[in-house]
Amino acid sequence: MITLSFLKLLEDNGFGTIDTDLFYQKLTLDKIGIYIADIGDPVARGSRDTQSFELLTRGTTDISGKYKLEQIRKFLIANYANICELPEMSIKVDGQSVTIPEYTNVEIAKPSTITNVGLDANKRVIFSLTGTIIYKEK
Amino acid sequence: MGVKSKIKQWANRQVAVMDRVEEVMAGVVLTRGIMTSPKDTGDLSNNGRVEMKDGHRTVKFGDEAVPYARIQELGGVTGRNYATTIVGQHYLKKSGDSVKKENPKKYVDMSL
Repeated sequence: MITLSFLKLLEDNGFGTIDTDLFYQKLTLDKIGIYIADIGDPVARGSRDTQSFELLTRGTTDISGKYKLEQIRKFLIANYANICELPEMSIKVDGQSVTIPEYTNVEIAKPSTITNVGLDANKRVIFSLTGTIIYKEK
Repeated sequence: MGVKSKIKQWANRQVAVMDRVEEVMAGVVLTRGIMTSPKDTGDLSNNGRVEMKDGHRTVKFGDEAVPYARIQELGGVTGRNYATTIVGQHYLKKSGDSVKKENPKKYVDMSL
């Protein structure tokens, strides 16, 4: 659930609204917005765990998706050391209330550069950014 | 006095890292394949998966339930008297190529 907590962080910082234009794991949707997917399972790293993730965007225009990812990338680079805690919270996903546990000792490693994945079936460009979150569940 | 070699531990560590790199790369190819695949009923994009084959990971779309995965990828003719032409979307090739063109170091970093 660390990536859902991370998505909530993006929502709180004005990058969109969960289930409207921020989607958790729902890659099969054909909507405009930002999608987050877990890459592999969490891996132990000392006393903390690491989770790799991928953010994918499908924009209304060729450049809007990339612009949004660039804004997120700048935000993460500027704040990677400041985001130490992700608080416990309750949010609604698909109409159901989900409680996300609190995470401490959070560090969001420097995200990758942005990759052009190619066009989807509706000729919209998909862009991708990958990264890793190091964290401890409280 | 002998020398204690740690080459075996080092080699085992490298094998574990490379296995994790393969897992991460296959995961990224899969997520990108799902994003770029054609969506009508959603069955094709829901069908994507990572399978182990001969000790390595393979990203696959299609089975008996979704037999059209191949023709959507590669294109071809189908239907009565092969009257319908489907243009290949190359969704899996595109996602694989996008991973291939990236710096492999990125995936090694993600694996640690």
